[in-house]
Amino acid sequence: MKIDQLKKLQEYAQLSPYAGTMKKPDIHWEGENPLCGDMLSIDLRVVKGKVADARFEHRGCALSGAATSIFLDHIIGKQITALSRITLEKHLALLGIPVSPGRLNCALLPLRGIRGEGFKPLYIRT
Amino acid sequence: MNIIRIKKYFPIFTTHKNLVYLDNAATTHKPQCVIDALTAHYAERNANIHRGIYRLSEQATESYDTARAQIARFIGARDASQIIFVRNTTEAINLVAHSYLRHHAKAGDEILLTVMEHHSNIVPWQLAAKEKKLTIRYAHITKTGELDMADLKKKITPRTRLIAVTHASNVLGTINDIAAITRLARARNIPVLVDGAQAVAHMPVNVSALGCDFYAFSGHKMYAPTGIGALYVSKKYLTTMDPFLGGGDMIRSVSLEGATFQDAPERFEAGTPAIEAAVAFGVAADYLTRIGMKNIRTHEKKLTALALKELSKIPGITIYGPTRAEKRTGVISFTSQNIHPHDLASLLDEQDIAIRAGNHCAMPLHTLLGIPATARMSFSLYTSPADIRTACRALRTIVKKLQ
Repeated sequence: MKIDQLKKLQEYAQLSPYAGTMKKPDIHWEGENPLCGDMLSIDLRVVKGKVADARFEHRGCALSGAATSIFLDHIIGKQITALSRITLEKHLALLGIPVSPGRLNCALLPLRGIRGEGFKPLYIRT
Repeated sequence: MNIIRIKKYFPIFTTHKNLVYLDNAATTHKPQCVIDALTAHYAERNANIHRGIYRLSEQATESYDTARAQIARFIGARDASQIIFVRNTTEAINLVAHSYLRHHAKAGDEILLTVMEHHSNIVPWQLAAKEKKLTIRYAHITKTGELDMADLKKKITPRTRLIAVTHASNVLGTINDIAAITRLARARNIPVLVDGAQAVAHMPVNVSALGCDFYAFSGHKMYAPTGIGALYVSKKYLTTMDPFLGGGDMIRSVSLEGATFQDAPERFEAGTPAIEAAVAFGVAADYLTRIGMKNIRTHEKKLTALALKELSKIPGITIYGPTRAEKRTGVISFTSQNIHPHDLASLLDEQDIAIRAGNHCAMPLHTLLGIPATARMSFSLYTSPADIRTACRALRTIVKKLQ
């Protein structure tokens, strides 16, 4: 990873329009990357089966923060049932920078969260 | 010590000419003599040990026994039979939990650990504690990252059945005063296990002088291959331990009704071991003795002082652990105000500088420090002052550009 790329990721993570929490979200996920202790929570507003709005709170590296912001931007307007079909390849392509094998867990944190792989959803209401 | 000559003796630095390797607490690279020992064993002396009634097998057995004697000598054990070959430090500690503690502790008894332990010196005890309904107590650290000896002393009770403590922290670098702990323990007849993974390749270690009952360490962190390690056991406890794994080589006789077992160390080494790795382990120990453990400690202490000085000049960097190099090994964990340790490691990797980032298998300690992760530099005998200056210069540039 180059410094300019990290700068961009930091901007994505820190200046994300999705930063924060939501009052009474329809879906709430939270968990951590057990390998490094990064914490992430995602709130989604669902209207007529589609993702209408999203927020996230994050304590971790710029890569997982930026990946979450970019991912949320991608899923807004999508059917909630379609989220589990987003492939790892598609998710990594959204990031637009190469991710080394050692950093895959950082980049995949939001996707794994949404797919319920990396950590368990605390509750789901749709 | 001639670092240029030493570095040339490690082929990895010929393959990767610009590599600045500062992750020696995770594993070390291998000198030519260790690599040669592996291939020579397979080319010249390969056979299974102990059982063959032919010269090649006897030669392989002799090599394996020589390695045991080399390791015993290296750590000041009185007798080679006190050295049990295992896969690594983790297995050594699990062996003690399984073969000693489970048979000598009952519900309500206590194990005393410290909060600075690696997971491998916590989890085996948690498993044993769950099974035998034992209580685990943890001695705390001071603000400067040193073991709080008063707290440790306070937590020794009549129910304490074992004290397990690291010789040197893999996060803070702190060197613990093992002799002081064994003095406390001996008065109360409590065995002491020392996790020597981060110490044995970095300072002179003499288990007899330390007075510990168990000393566990890995080969791969002391320039030997992976898959081999050792557990030293004092004579007092060697005969009180039950077998670890059951199988070939550890038995005296077997009938359909039961079995009788060999004495130590074979009693604890079931199955064919990593013979070639053990042989190379012995060669690595002799290599370190030739360079001199005192020389290595002096060299790494200088590197640590230099790194502490250089790192403290970089704005926004917080260093964890004792501030003086005398009190620590060449392991320095730090955080940057603006950059997550993982991002830092990725950026340094761009310049062929290898550091570690994460919780370093010490989650309880990181929780206590109130941080999810740290970046870590760790040194070895082939680390040069130039390596440290290069890494700190790169770090300074990164921090400056991301301000």
